[in-house]
Amino acid sequence: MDIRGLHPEGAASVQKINYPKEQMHRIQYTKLTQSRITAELAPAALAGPSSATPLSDALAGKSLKIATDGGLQLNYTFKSRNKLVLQEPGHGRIESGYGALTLDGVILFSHLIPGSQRGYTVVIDRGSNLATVLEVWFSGYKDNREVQRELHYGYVEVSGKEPPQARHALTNRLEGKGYHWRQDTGIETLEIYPSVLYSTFVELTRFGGELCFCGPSDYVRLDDETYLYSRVEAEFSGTMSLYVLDLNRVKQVGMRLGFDEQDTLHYYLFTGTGELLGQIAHFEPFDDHGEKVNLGNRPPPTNKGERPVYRPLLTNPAMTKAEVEEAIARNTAVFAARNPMAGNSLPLSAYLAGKELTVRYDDGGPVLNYEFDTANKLRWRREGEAQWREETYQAWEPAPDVIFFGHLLGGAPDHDGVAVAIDFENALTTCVHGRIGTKYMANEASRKTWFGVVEMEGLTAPQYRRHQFTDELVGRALTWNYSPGLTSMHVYTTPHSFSWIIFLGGGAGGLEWSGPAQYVKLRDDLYLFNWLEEACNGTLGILVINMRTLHDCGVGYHCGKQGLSLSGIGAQARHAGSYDIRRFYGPKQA
Amino acid sequence: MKSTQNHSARKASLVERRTFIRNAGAALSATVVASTAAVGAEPASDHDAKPAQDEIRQLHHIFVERLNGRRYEELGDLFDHQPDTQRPAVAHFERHLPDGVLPPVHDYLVSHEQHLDSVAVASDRRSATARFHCATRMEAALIATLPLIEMARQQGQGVIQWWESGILESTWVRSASTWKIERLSFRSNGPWPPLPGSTGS
Repeated sequence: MDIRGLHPEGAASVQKINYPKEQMHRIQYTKLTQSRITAELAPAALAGPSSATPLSDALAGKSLKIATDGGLQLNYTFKSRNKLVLQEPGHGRIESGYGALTLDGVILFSHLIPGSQRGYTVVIDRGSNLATVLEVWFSGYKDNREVQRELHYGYVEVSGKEPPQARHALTNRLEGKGYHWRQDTGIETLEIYPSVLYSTFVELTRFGGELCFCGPSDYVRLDDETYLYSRVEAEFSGTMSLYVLDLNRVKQVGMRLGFDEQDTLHYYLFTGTGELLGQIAHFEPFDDHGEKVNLGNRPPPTNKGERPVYRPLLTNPAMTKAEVEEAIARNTAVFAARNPMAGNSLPLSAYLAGKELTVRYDDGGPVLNYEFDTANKLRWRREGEAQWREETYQAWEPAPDVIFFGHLLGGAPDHDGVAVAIDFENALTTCVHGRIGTKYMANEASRKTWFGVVEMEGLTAPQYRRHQFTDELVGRALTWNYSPGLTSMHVYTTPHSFSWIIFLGGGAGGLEWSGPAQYVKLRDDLYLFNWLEEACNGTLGILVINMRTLHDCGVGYHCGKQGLSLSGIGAQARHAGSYDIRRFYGPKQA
Repeated sequence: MKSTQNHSARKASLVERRTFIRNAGAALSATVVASTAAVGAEPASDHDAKPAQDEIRQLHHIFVERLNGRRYEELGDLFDHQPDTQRPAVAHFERHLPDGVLPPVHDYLVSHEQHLDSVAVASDRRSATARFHCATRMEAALIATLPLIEMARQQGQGVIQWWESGILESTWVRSASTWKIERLSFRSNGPWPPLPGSTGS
């Protein structure tokens, strides 16, 4: 993989870390036409996938007949180590290029079908003769570039032998694991499997390792130490990555297929070596090994390739500035009742009622005077202003003498809101200042985090000490139970992002999404965490997480078709485990 | 006689609950569980009632199969009612549910204790009352305006679930060709696990 393509010609002379001009969720991937895809695939179908590791000749000169339970039959004749003939009932005879790699007793081979947009990647366990076929194709979703897949389970027919009864099968045995992978291409990734439907990946090489992303994934058990994993970068480039991994030797052989951000086709096999970074808990009943995915009341998939895929911009389409203004004028809800996100909220605090104070933030940040008239009404003004503004607020005390509160800044042109943590014991404060609207989406929140001090009668603020950003939470995973029936898991994957996973009915991890995040240390075991649901529903969430009580409090700041909302958040946590992952981040010397 | 039950003992302990069974093809009536008497006169003898009992049991199994399979459109065929256009909403127990939870919308019927079931057929064999001891799994959807809940819904979640064991009572009427369900009610022993914030009943 040549990563230089992400930079203008000649611009990468000194820089060693490949920061893209836009992160994955901001790239406007081309809507490729079917004819363009067919044309791009044609030479790859004839040549087969490339590979930095020499291809295996294990299949050369052999013939295989693969039968699958769904009726798919593939009759292969391998003319050499990179040419095959395929006879599919009903499809005629084709010749194509292919590539094969082996991992222990498993052989993986992959090819495309000339003149089409489809192909097969086949995994065969040579000991058991079991086979799993990933049928892949383009133009199966309205975004043609997104690779689709269907899993077929079967076996290699052996003359004179009864077909094996066993099959490879879906599994939750990989759920919770996290790896660092280094491919023979030089590409390094961090990959976490917190779900049976999705996985998280951090592109250390391709995208500089700032943010984590996630994609719909498959997990198939070949045997107790060997598994097949695949993911598609749905809603992004649509690229598929799949590999067989050996848990004991921590090795992989795999295939990558798709068009990158410059619409260059990548179709190659790879090998890799890994490091297990950790194993977090998973929450199915002990007898549930994940052969079936519990999709609750969702109708079972009936279409080929169908599976749950979270497409946030389909359910939360971007709004125009005019639509934002109209929606906010129609409805602005501040701490509305009946909020399932606050079902397990901390009790509201009256700590601030009757107090007068000033929060003064560094580096040109806001300086705000406050008078807290009651436990839910405050007046504020910017320092130097004469006029006070009244707002509704809510406050919680997540740790002794630490108060966290939020309110809107009435009159601000971007419908600003603030969430403020004040540590009265240390006279320190941190403010997350949200605004509605970014250059990407009019209804998307942005935020600025300010560090400063609190000034109040009886307090003397420190001159130098401040709250500060931290990576202490990075690598940890916490489940959050907001209300009956509403539980998610946070995986704090990088110092600047995290992923959240929604649980399936049986306790397995399900759909997932990721977003930019910030972590601030308020005190030992007390953190202010905020995240942005960018290129998604636009929410800014701000929480104070107490790792001693495993409880949080916070506010959600959101603009959508229903208008502007500032709402409470409160949930109880369980510690799901952690990954040894922090060492992969931060400015490095190459 | 196995096919009759002591109705009065049940009536005394009942808290009035209404059960709605609706689907896109039929509006299925609400009823009060206490009204358990079979329509018609004296019960038929065991021997005379057997074919009708067998047919009703068979139709009940079809009802359960379609209900559990969420094949609401097909459920309507089993009822002696005119269709309406309301969306599927099954079995509303009058529960006090936590904030942010909509009325229950789905249930599954399981764990039939067949040795306790009964089908009492009226002597004119035009009506019958059946009582099936079973458990039902209830679901109530969370309000879907929140992104996290919308995400959960896409994978069949975004609901709270609980169980209610009790007696599903159905009254049946004989149409020209087959038996049809006239009314359904479910006499519950209460939710399990207890609903958070619920007063139960």
